[in-house]
Amino acid sequence: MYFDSFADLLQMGKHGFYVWTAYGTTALVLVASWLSARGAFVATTRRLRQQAELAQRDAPTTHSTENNS
Amino acid sequence: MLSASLQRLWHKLGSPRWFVALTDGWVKALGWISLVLLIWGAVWGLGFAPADYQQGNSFRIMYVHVPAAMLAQSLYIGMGVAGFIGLVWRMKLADVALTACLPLGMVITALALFSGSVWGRPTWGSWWEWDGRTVSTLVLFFLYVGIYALREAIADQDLRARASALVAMVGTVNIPIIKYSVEWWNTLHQPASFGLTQKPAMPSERWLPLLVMVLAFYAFAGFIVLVRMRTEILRREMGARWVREWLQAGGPR
Repeated sequence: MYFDSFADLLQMGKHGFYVWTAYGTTALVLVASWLSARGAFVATTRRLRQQAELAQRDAPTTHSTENNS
Repeated sequence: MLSASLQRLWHKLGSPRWFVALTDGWVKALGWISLVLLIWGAVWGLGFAPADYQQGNSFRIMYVHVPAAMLAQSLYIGMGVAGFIGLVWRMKLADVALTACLPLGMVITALALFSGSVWGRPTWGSWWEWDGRTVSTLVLFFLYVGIYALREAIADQDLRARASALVAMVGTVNIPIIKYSVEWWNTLHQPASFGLTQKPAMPSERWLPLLVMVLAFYAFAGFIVLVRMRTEILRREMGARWVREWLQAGGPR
């Protein structure tokens, strides 16, 4: 490691505050982007599944004729 | 003959169903690749790269600032290209790609501005400078926000696609302005120390972590854009039979 100790790594001379703020914000932005994209995908597939279940419950006969033809 | 098969390929490329099937296995792979690269690059850049003799340790901000700024511009170019394809060939997937790039591009541009500001304070002695590059990047951010607002305001899907495609395309004139701003105007901003064509202006212990971080950010962007595109396709094709079949076959992996 470039630094002598963990405290040195945190302090980074006089620049610890700036460096850690930049990295912390970056981590926050990336995690938030992931959670938001993931959340939208999960919500959409859940809605799709519900819709498919409803369709199957409402019209079980159409499903079987579809298979026969 | 050839043109017919090319046309078929083009048609396939624009097919949402084909796209979802093709990318089923990519999402997880890209996610893991970006996670590993991000951690690797951050640990290397924070703890192992030697400090700059002029800037001290503040230069470590470069490892998040430069990839963020590069990605901010690349995602905008992606939207411009998608807009062009959407307007000219009416490809369904083009507008899907444009919407998928938009939220990430917006926050990454904000991150580039913010990390630049936090770097500017110890280096230039000020949080904000009305400098060619910072201002043109601010314009980039407003372009993202503008397209976002435009999409929120227009209810009709076709009109919304065409309007945002047009703004995205016109806005790409800002990209070369950002790139050459450090040469055109007298500026505090340092010129690129990293490029495809010239040797980096720093030793390899310092630019290798940057390379890792740039790759990490692009892998992450690929991952997010892919997830968002797939979500948008499923949302738009909700009633389609292939979506039902895709779900029954196992759906998302």
